[in-house]
Amino acid sequence: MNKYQLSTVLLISLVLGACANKTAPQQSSQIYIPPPTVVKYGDSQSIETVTADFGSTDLQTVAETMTRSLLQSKVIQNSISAPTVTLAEVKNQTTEPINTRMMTEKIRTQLLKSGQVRFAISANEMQSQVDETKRQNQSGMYRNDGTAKPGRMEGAKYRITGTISTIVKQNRDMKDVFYNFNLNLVNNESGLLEWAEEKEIRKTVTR
Amino acid sequence: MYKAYPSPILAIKRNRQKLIASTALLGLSLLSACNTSPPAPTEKQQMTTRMGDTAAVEVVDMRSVVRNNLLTAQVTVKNWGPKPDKATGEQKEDTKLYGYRFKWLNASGMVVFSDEAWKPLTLTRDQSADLVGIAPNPDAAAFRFEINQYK
Repeated sequence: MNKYQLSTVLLISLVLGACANKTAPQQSSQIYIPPPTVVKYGDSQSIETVTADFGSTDLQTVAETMTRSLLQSKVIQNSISAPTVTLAEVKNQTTEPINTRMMTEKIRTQLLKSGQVRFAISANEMQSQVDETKRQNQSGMYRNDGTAKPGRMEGAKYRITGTISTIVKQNRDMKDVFYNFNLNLVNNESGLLEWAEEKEIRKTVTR
Repeated sequence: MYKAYPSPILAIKRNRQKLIASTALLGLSLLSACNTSPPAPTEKQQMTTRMGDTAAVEVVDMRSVVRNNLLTAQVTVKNWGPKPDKATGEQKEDTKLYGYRFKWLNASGMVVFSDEAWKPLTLTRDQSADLVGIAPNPDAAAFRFEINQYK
């Protein structure tokens, strides 16, 4: 090996060595280090204004307003015993995906907690009620005196139905969302609309 | 010449009068000192819980009535806005947003319902609002009004 060849080999090894030194930090920099996160508990009742979409504050306010108004109605307060009612799932007539099941359950829970009404099984829950009654009576696994006999369910005197709808207007700088929530109480026997209440919410977003 | 000296009995009586007068003065000064302490909170103040900067909002009126077995409360509030700038006298812009809720208590003072949600309240300067709350059940016999500043 002459001097020229030796210097060429040395130069190549130096270049490779330099590359090797450079690749090491590159490999280490490719490891993903997530940004530090902070987890903390907040007040579940506090006012939430992250976006103009239907949020937790709207859900809580609507449920409170509706249940308190219904409980104060003459239909409920003039009943000798707590009347039986059913609550159909609130209908979402907006273009926004709203979890109406959550809203329905919140209203039902607040009404039940008041002790002023009793809830009968609604149409949505009927299948599970039938299945359970059949299981107890037809499986042969239960004592006769302890089973829930079919044909003894209590029918609801009233049914509660609700809808939520919106009017949305927006331009380049502003968006206005107007929510209107309606709840009705209908007498199942007479078909009379005994009580109705509405709650309006306006939310605006400006740039 | 005959010189009249005060009798010792008279001297004792005068000393006693001075003592009574000085005690009365001390009592009066103590009473006047008591007057400078802050006045006792009114019923409206006792029934209101404030959080954050809500000094501009005054609770003007508070009343309640039992309607169809449920306690119904009405609180009237007015936003006077922040005080004008001392140097220039200019009115400061009031952009604060408030939240309010009612707390319902039974006859024993126990809370009858889990915490209510805070409801947003937008009040511009000199605007007043009648806030109405209905108790969640017939057990509620009294209420407290809570107001906070959230923006």
